[in-house]
Amino acid sequence: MTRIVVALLLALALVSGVVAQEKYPSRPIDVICTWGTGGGADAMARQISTLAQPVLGVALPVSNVPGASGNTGMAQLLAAKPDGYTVATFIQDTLMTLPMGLARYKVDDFEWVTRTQVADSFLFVKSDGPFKTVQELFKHAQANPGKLRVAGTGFGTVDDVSVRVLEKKGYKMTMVPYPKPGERYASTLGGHSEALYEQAGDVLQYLKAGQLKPLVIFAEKRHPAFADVPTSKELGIDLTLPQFRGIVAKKGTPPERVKALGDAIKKSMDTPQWKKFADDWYMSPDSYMGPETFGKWVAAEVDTLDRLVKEFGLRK
Amino acid sequence: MGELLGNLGVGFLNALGPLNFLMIVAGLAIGIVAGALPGITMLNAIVLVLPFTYLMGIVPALLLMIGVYCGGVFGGSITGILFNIPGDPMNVPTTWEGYRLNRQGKTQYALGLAIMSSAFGGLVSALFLAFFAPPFAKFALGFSTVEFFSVVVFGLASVSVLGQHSMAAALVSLFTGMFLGTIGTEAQYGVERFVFDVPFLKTGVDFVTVLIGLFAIGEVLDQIAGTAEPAAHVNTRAVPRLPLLDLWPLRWPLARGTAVGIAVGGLAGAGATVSSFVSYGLEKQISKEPERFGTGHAGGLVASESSVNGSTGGAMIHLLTLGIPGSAATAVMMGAFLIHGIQPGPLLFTKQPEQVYTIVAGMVLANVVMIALGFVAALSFATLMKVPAAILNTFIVVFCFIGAFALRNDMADVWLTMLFGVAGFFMRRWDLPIPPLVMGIILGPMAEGYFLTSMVANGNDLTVFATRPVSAIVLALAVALLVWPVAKRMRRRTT
Repeated sequence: MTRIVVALLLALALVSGVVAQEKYPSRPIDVICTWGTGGGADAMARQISTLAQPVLGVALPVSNVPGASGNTGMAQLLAAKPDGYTVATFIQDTLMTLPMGLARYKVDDFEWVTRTQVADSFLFVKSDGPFKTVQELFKHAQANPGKLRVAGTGFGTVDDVSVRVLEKKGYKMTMVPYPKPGERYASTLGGHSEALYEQAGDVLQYLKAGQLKPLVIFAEKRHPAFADVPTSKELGIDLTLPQFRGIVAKKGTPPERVKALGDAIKKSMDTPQWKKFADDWYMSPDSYMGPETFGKWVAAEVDTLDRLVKEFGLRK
Repeated sequence: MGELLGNLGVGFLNALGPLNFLMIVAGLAIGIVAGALPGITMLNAIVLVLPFTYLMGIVPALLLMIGVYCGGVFGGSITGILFNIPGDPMNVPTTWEGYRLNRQGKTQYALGLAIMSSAFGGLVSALFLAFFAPPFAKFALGFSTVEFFSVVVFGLASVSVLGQHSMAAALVSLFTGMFLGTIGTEAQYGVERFVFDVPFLKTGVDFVTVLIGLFAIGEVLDQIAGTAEPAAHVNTRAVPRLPLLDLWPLRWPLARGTAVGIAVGGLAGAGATVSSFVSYGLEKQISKEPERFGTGHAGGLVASESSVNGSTGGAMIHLLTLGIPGSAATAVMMGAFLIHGIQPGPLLFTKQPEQVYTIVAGMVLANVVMIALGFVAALSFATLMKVPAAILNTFIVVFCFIGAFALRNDMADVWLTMLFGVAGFFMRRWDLPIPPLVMGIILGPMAEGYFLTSMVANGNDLTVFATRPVSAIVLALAVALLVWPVAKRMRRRTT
């Protein structure tokens, strides 16, 4: 018996000693990207991974765990230890699943490390397709309810909610979920869906090549880079759900590690590489929010989304 | 055409530059070894080299990854042929025939065929990429999840007839695999299935634990128990010969395998695993001697191995012309592009021709160099056959556990691997075939995802699978594949 007690005490001393002395970070930090390769969340995760590596002094390998509107990756984060060695991307699409009743966690289950990006969403169509203006698209939707297909990220996401809000306004379309960005773009380029709900930076290469064109921006004001694209507000649709992206850790991560992560990401975002990346992807200049403010903002955002969901009766 | 050849010429000159060429060779070596080791997959290797590419330019970075990709999809066939332990899932059909050939004392022949058909498939697909990428990409966009679903179903059908005596046993194994694939968070609606509130089950059972558990650990247990069949005459001097002349009688399986590889890799974007099974199934259906499949049939080996490497060029077309990664490997390459601030897509070929054609030329070269490196690797791994089983098996088990742990840094995956190892032991005893189970867990969730997306996109109309011509043809072939052996048996019984 005494031997067991001594062994336990020794083990405890060893563990606590390690915890007290361990320098953070002393090994690679896993970054879970909750979406497939090639999209906005993936690009953001990989930029942060590259830029934060010299700051933190360890590698930040990115692994893609797409599925269930980002919640498959969330499950993986929540299954890991809250030791600051596993972080994940978190975007508006996944947040929307909370008020929609599809998420299995609460806002309080995470340490909200940093909000890295905010950008407006658009509806895009094929440039050589039948629709030249948003009015034509909506008219077609009105005449053929549910026939037009909009490629989006997943059920319960902002894409889904936007399409359903449009339905309440009389333009019924079908949202087809593609958690992998590549499949989403291929489906619109190949004519397997008529429209695409996305942010401009994500599909920049197709915009430049003249394969896709924006019809409407879901925002209060027109975007300077797309001055001739009408806003949803102009069309009488009061729906502005800008996409945000950020980095989260599991609740219970030691506060000094959250701070270390937040500081490293802040430093990464102050580099010229990040500034160029943010400009290329049409990001809002005041995207940044640190660990102190991000969590509070998200909690308020969920309340807003909750009201929207109730107002339009979206939750079944 | 002249401009294209000029671009390609410049590409070859660049790819032969010292740094670029070194990257191709290094990538191939890493890929072949990683592919060959059980527990370490080609994908692991690509993910591992990615951070090293941060400091390079995009061209050497891509060439390194292409080397790993081309070498990695081939490497698993070496250990498959020598030890009956396929390093990667796409090498399972190769193992099926190659290990039999090895046991018959034709080790050199089997290894040589695998090297040559891999290199041939890869070379042709790389040339295809060089000359037809943009028009092929346009053509490929015409295919939707409906067609992808049908191709995956064909893959599933070909698994169930994969060179076994009992179709019932194969189906039991296949459906067990598909069931295991349903565990975890469902991809469309986020429904949790068979999770029982166990956190690590929420992200599902990783197919790698199943693959290495059933094949590698199961094989080791089988050897310890002394039930593994003794070889006819083990050939420890297994110097592979380069069977250039041997390939001629196999030219049609080789051509078909390569074509299927390019098509499935490029059209469905389903990657090497699906194309290897589709090609094997198709070959068995076309072959005049389907009953000899599974007993060491060279045609089956050549067809599956050439399609595995054939799919690499197809998948690269998707990546370079559309910016859409079709396989997990090209998805990581996409990440490399993005890190270097390049969005691969429709403009890449016109805006950065020098870079693109260097990458393409590098891929052609990689497949030529692979013949030499594959030869060396096969030779080195063959010497392992002289190592006492106790020592060799210890290393196999260690690699398997490292690979399993590395999946999510979670001991749970190691326990799962052990569990599947025991299951693999008993499946060998009870004559339950293992490949269908592994394919079930890989292809099952793919089929489900494509099916559900097709349903949402087509108003839950099941007839789309029959009204879209390509899908209808592929599904008809799948049905024929399943019904053919049954019909033949019934005819034999009645006459």
